[in-house]
Amino acid sequence: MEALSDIQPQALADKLAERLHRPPDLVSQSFAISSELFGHYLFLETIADKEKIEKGLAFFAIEGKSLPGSIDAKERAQALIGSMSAIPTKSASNFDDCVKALLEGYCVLLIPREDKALLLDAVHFVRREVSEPKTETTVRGPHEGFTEDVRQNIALLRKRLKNPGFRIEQYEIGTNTRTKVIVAYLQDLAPEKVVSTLNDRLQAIRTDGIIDSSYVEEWIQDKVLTPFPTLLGTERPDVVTSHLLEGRVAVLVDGSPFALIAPITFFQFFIAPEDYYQRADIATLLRWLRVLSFLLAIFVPSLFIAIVLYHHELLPNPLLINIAAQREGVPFPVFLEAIMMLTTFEVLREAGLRMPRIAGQAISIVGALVLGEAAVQAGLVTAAMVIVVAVTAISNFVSPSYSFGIAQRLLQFSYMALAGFMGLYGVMCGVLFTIVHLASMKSFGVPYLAPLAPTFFSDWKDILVRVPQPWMKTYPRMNRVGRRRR
Amino acid sequence: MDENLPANEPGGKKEKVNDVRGKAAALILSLISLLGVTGCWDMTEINQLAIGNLAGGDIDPETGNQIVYYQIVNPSALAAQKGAGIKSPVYTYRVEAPTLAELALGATDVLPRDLFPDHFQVYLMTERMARRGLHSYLNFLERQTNRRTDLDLVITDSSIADVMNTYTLFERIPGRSLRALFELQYKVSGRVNPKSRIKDVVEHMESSVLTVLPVISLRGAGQASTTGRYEHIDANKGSLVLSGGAVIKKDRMIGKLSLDQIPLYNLMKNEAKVYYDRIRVNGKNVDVGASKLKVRRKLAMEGGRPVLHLNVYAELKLLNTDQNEALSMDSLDQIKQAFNVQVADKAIDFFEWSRSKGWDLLSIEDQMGKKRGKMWREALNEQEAWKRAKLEPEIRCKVTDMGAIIDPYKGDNP
Repeated sequence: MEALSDIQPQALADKLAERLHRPPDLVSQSFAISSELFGHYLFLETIADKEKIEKGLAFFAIEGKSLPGSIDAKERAQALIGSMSAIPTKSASNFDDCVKALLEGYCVLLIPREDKALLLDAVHFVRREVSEPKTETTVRGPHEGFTEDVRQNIALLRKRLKNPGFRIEQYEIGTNTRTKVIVAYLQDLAPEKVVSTLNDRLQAIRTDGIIDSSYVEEWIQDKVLTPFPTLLGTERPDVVTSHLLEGRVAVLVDGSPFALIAPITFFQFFIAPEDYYQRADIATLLRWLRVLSFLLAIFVPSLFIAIVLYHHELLPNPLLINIAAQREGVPFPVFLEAIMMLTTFEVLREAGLRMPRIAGQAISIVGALVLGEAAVQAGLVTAAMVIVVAVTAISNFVSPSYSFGIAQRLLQFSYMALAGFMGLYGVMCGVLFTIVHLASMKSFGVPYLAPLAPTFFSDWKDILVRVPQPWMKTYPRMNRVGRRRR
Repeated sequence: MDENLPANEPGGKKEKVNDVRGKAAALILSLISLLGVTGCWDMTEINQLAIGNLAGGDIDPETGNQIVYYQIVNPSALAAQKGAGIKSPVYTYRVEAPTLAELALGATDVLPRDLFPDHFQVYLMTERMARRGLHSYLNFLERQTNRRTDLDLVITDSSIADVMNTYTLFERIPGRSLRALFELQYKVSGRVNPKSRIKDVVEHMESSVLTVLPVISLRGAGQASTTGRYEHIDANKGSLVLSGGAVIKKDRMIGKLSLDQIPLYNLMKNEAKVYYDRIRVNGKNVDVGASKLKVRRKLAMEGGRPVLHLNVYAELKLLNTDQNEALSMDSLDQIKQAFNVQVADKAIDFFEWSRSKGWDLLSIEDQMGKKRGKMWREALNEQEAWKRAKLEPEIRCKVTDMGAIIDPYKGDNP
């Protein structure tokens, strides 16, 4: 490879500009180091801070004047570089590093006869201010959320973790995007096996681009063909911190406000951040409410279909007559009716999510009318089915994790199909299949159904119930190395 | 898979992808094939069912044909959101055939929907059919896999056609109305024996234990077969009322108990929840209700004859008293004493009456059969050995509720 000192700054600058196809935001100018010595600087003005660059260049001019006139040009340049410690700089020793630095927002200073280019840190990307997380709001507790800037996200974690053992490892993934992917963990608490597995999987990613942490999640998850997530996505720094304190590992991706946490187990998807900001008894009650909602979401429509189609004898007489009365004149079979209603709800939900907020409200009103009043009055659906869909839909939203909520919906539709074809027998088959599937899963080596199967009684203190903080004296056993007590 | 290996490890990737594709294809194929099996399963839409609520059985005395009435619910007339409908909440179908199996087939001639028997509330039999014997009917029921034998079996001494064509008030489904009536009677007046279900009769088919089934009658027949009944203020006309108890031995009705006898029978069988009686104290009537009944029956061989010791303990509530004096400890003792004596006397009278009829209503023979020892075996060798039995009742009670006033208002009756 040709050394940088062999090429004149002007020629090198031309070569760099050529490599980037001379973009309009590329600034490439020469500057005087002394009366006979000229350097060259380049930067992309859209991602670099001009003020910082001007400050750096002014430093050159001032320092250059203060140097004695007797020293030769090379010595002068080296003296100037040596005195740059006041300004954050790095250096690049080859052409590719210079290109990379330019694309990252650095200002590349090319100095004649120098074998290294000076990289002035002027990175200035457009970024969002820290704001409240939109998907995980809490009434009590911190209101800070991650942003798309990974450095800012690390800062939010460092603010909470004053521990020298807080380790951060960085990867650049994506041949085109070169996205920074950060692995964060606490040295003494995170199991080495989990960290090395995660690192191996990250290193094995071969892709042209990583836009969001969900891209990384798909590459590093344990099982591909499963509706259940094996990593927890969160945009709350306090949640990430609490998981790091329990020996888990976080993955932060530049450009994504969602951090990934691993290993994670099934029951942890019923835990909301707010659980730790409420009294323990209330948190426990809410946790059970979430479990109940999960069961309602996946079973209410399927049980309704199964009982109304196959097992009429299970209904109490007044309820049977009531449902029979409602179904008089309804043109669709109950299975089709349920599928239609839930699909319509999913369509409305999707439309409400994608539309601007004001239009979303209009869709909600139309949805309520279409799904509720009008459909029942037209005799197309029964009022009981509207209630079933409403209960299911509301229960779906209770899940604290968005990705787990989606898994719920997939299960719900699968069970509905099984109920429609085979009644309660089908639902029971589905449940058994799901349990076997869950039992076969692992998240970075931790069984997915832990601490229930395998059983770690000591971990039940923060799974089925949430005991008061003073009673949580030990680290979770399912993810523990070395230290036992907090 | 080794958990340390990344999911996207290139090694063996091709085989893995093929494997996953194979599994996915198998899953999709099996799901598609599921669509085809829907017809093979017993899938029935709820609005394809004829929900039965009351079944009536009779026999034609001339031809010997079986007659069955099905009372089917008309759900749209009962829907809560449709308001007070003028439509009939039930329709009664009559089917007649030489055999019970043909009756089931015959139902399809008139019923446009699948008969759904799982929700029958009550089976109603005519007295003439019950006196002929219910074994063929009970055997037919027991043979059905979807049978429900915890339903009340009821005898009617009225025309079954009229009973089956009678609308009931408040509870507009007659089967439920009858069931509610029986449950209420059992709790409030004790005039219905709780062991009057099909399973109770079936259980006693091969033993000497008698069963007492409720008997209902139609008051003012012909008044209540149109929905116009709902518009009449006089609720008594055309009502189905409890009129007694049918004594069933094995599968056959052998006689009747009056309404007044049933509470005492229930008490002596330890199957009563409450017991009401009117006693005379100092020449005045006192109505008492007994609850929290504790009954102990013990059969012993004394002096070569079986003796049934009946110990009853009750807590009394004074419902009404014609006495003008204020209640005192003495008067309460008198009430208790009168109650103890009267119930004991009534029990002995009832036992003697049943013996004279030849009805072992207290199941003494059955109890004797369960005793061990030579003495009991020898006693059982005798024909109708239970008839030699003696009843020795011992009644105790405590007054726990005297009402809100102790000293009654006297008015012009000092």
